[in-house]
Amino acid sequence: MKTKALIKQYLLIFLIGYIAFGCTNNVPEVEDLPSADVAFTYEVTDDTYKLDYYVGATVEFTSISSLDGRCVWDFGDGSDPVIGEVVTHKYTNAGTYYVKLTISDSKFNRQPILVKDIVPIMKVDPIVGGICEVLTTPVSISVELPNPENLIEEYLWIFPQGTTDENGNPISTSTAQDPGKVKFSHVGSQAVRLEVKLSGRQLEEGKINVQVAYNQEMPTLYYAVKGGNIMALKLVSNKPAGMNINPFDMGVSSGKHPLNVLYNDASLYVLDCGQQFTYVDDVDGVLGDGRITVMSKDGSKVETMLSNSSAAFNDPFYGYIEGSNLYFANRNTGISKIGLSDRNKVYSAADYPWFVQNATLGYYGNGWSYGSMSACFTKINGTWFWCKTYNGTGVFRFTDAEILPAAITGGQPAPAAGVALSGMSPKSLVWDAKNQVLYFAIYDTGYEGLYRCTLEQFSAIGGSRSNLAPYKLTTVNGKSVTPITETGKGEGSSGEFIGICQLTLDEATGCVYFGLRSANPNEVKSGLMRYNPAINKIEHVIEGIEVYGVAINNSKSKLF
Amino acid sequence: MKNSLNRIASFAIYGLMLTALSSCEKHDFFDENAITGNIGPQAYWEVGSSTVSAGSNMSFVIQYYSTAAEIDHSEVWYNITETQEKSVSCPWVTTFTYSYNSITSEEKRIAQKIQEYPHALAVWSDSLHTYTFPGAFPVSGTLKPFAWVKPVVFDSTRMNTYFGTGYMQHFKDSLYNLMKYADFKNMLLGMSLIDNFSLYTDSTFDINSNGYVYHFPKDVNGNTPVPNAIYNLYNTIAFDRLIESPSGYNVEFKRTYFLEARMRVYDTNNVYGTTVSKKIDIN
Repeated sequence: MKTKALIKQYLLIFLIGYIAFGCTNNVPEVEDLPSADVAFTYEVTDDTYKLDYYVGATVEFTSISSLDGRCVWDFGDGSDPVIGEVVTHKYTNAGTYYVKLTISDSKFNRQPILVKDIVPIMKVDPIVGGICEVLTTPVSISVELPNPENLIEEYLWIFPQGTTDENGNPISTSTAQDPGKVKFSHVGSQAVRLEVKLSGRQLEEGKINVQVAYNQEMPTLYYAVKGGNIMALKLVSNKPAGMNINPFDMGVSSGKHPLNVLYNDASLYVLDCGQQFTYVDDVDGVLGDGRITVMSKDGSKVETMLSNSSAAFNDPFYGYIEGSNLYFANRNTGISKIGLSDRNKVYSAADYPWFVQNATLGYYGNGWSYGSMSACFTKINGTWFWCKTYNGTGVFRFTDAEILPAAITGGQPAPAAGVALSGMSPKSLVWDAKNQVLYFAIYDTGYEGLYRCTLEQFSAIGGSRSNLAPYKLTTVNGKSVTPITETGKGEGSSGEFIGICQLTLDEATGCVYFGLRSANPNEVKSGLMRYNPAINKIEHVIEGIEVYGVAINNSKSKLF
Repeated sequence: MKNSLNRIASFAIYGLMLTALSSCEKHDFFDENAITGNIGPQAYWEVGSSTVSAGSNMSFVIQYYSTAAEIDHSEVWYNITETQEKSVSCPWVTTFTYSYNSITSEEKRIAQKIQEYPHALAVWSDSLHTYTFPGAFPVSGTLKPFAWVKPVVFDSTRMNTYFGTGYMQHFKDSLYNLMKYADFKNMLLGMSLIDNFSLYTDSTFDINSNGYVYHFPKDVNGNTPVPNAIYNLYNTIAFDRLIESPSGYNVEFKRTYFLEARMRVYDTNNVYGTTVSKKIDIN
């Protein structure tokens, strides 16, 4: 009995102690937060380089606070605080600083300021004739070096391989402030670098791309590099010995997942389906971040055509241009259209109703089902060819007249043209009207690769993979191109792998270009590829890069 | 009694009327629920592109009008935001993909006045019923993108600058914790740090796959820990070798900037209206 009483006493003491000490940790930490009553602006007051915020520039800070009182400024660089409503400060090192204004020793606000080191600003001087042609056009590059303290300047120009002076003498470096006019022996973006020291202190390197044109008019291939920029490449078939045809860096970001790019009338349309292109539980329908942008063919202008901030699945994934409209497919519901001249539009289901959706074709419940996953699509001889890679797979063909006026759940006859490659996973296709052959890429295990056949042969393949064999295209080593479909190795998941996103045709030569993310890099490396009908083989154009969408401007030009 | 009641009723009615009338003066729904300001000029603009080269000018066209006062001038304001993209990966591991990726954006300069444009009556457009003019504003040449991508020569100073001190060791430690037998084998043989891996190899027959599964030798508890010799060998590997591939080192650091610009149109009372914000990438 006594023992029980003792146990009860100990339990009570333990409980009190636990509560007392447990409560100690639950006292919230009070933090000082910025006040809306405190605000300030800043600007460089020097006469020149007002926008540049160079090290050593005089920056004027002005309080525009609604609160009255003594203003104390902490410039965030370890210097002593300064008092006053309007004060100036000079930063001695480049970097990001956080300036804090405190009023009457109580309320405060903090804002960032980015201070840059001096960098050489390089420009290509105006070129006679407008373009720099390989081997022949001399160009001069001028440099502007802000040097308010008149420090000793040292220059080191570094030219790309193949650069010559105006007289044709090879030049790789120059220590002159003005290296004079130079010519380039290779096509594409030629990067000229400039290392500068100011009184012995090395500045951040300057770099400029000189866009060097070919000396004959050729088509231009555009491709979107993963995590990089839109690039362009002149499609030169018989280049002179010793001349490299390098890509042009268009200086325009590819975006997040530009699975398709389309060329039309001096503009490149980039369909970027955003960060999330596979399944996501977007219950609120707000995770969309895709967009269609329009880049002028020389990259000088970029406009937003359509942006989506609704459901992630409504991002623009794949596209096709016909007449004055761009048709774009979302992830797994349907295809809408937008006028080619439209700009700065925001996607909504009301403004961009379905041109066709899964449920407005007789295939619904009759070959495919809810959420059948979209891939590339095109139109051949008046019939749409729509690749599907999940929940009913194959190339589903239909005409405009076969699109039903309202959504169905099944029970309607399938369109007359029917399903090709039924049960297979076709990702992309392109029609060569001149040679009357269709190219398509599939990623079915064991049958991955690029194929070519006539429309009749295409229909005859039916749903039997073994019928594909005669049409498979290979490299000179007899290897097929195999896009990555292993989860975790490439991108995407079941039904939506993007190892070969798009095919595009060079109408003049019949070559078909595409980006490959290779599953077997020991056999065929990833890169920009082409099927060359002249040798009946697939070959590398550029090895070791990761490419999404591809498109060709078949109009010939020396530059763009 | 009746008179008293009538009087009370009259007072009540007068009181009610007085209250109702005075209430109307006091209660302004908008004033009580919103902070109202002066009417500023209405303004709309379009910029020439959603990208601009550092050191060049961005073109625009603005339309504006005012119903309250004469227009005085307009200004372009923008802020600067920096985006950093970082990526590091190890190509030696085979049982998983090991990579570090991060994208961060942070405002680096607050919005500030960039350029001012005087107003002129001559820019009135009869067809648009607004004032309108084309203009341009400058972008600093210091805001060029910077990239350190797949360098062919590794620079540990740059690595520390862009990824932070201690990152390389952290990467190496994290990688070690995830590596399995096949990864160590591929890495150490690939780097020619070991000639005979069979010394550290044991196998078990797996009924499901009908084949042998290779692993490190088992200890007394049946676990397959990384042998000390392998651990010591791993510790001798420099960070740069872990990310080395035939096409360069698997490291990327990219720094880009974008600006968010608005125009302010001021009237002669110093009240301004703003346009919508335009996000412009700097390249």
